[in-house]
Amino acid sequence: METIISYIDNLFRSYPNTPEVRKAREELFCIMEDKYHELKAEGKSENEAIGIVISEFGSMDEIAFELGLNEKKETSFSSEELSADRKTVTLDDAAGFLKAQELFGMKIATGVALCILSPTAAVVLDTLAYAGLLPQSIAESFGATLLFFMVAAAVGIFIISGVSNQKYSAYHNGMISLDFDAKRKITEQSDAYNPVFGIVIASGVICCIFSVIPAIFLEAFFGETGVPWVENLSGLCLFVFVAAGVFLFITAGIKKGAYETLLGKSKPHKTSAAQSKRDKIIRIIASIYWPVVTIIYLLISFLLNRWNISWIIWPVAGILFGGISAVISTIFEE
Amino acid sequence: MISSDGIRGYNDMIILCLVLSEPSYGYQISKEIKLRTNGSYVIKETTLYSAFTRLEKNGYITSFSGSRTNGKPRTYYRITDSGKAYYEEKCREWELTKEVVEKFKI
Repeated sequence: METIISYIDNLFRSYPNTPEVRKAREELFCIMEDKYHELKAEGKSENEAIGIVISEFGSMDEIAFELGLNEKKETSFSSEELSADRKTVTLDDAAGFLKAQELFGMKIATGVALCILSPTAAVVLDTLAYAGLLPQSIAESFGATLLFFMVAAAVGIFIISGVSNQKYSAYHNGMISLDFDAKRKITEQSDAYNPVFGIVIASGVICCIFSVIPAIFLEAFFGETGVPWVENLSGLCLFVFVAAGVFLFITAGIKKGAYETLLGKSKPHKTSAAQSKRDKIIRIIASIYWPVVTIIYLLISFLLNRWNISWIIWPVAGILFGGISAVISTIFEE
Repeated sequence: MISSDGIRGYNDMIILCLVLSEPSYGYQISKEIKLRTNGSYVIKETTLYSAFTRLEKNGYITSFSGSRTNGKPRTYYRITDSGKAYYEEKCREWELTKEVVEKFKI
């Protein structure tokens, strides 16, 4: 069977990857496959079956003539250029892209996990202070410092990986077409990845659900005792589980996205003028909005020393920002 | 084995004949040709597919996607009314061709 696949792939290699050519390849392969299976069922050996199938295949000139490809074949270079200068992607290119996207997913997921875990250092140090192992003041200042370091590291990761991922912009803009070999292999790999994707996402959801369970149990068993570290431990578990869940979501999501990009399933987002103007305005607002929110958060927390309640700014700010974006979107859609 | 040059003008008629009573698909048609001619004519895959393309373009057949035992969809072909008319026309043409050629054989 592999022989037949590579035979037909080789014959089609020099033809442009258009819907008609793809269809012809599919149909011809389907007939060959049927014939092959029937010959095998008749008791022919593998080699005999392949020999007969290939000898009865015919000539590609006939197909080329019928599809009007005679001209194009000789000048395949210029015709490919004409077809909206798409980049032809070989199996090696596609494998390289997938590997790069997997790495990109890991980096982004690590960055996000760092952001989520950034308050945990403070929680741990606070617990140590409770236990009398550290002075309270040192615990607080170190906790805040570590929080900033982790967020800074995450931002660094986002920027660097974003920049290095820009060399794949042709892929993300849908300006690629896979050759036959790559298309077939990547489709196989993508189909094989689907169940894995389901399992990883389910594991992520379970992590998120489990994140509150330690808190419930700790509260139930130790809540009455008034031990100070109970709350800290609950919080720690929550952050760690959520970080793990989000890590799984991001890595799996980016990997699946990479397959969809290669197979052209994800529509390249063609932005209209109004949309890009809207996005630009939202970006400008965001670049002022979030630093302001951060400053307010830090001022309230440090000046009033109300770290226990000041975090409420974040969900409020998040929802508010969503509202602002929605309002801007509706204005620009009109 | 017959030469594919000799029969070229009648591939369309042969295929139309095999989808006349009920829709059929690539391999079934190819197998039926081999069976009916006792292996004297084995149609090449590329000949068959280009004929499908040509017939469909001319509106003599339409294709639709049907199921297949191992799951992947398979393309079936169904004859149209103009396809039936074309088939009959080709049959008449063959009668004439046959008469002409008959006159020159030993």
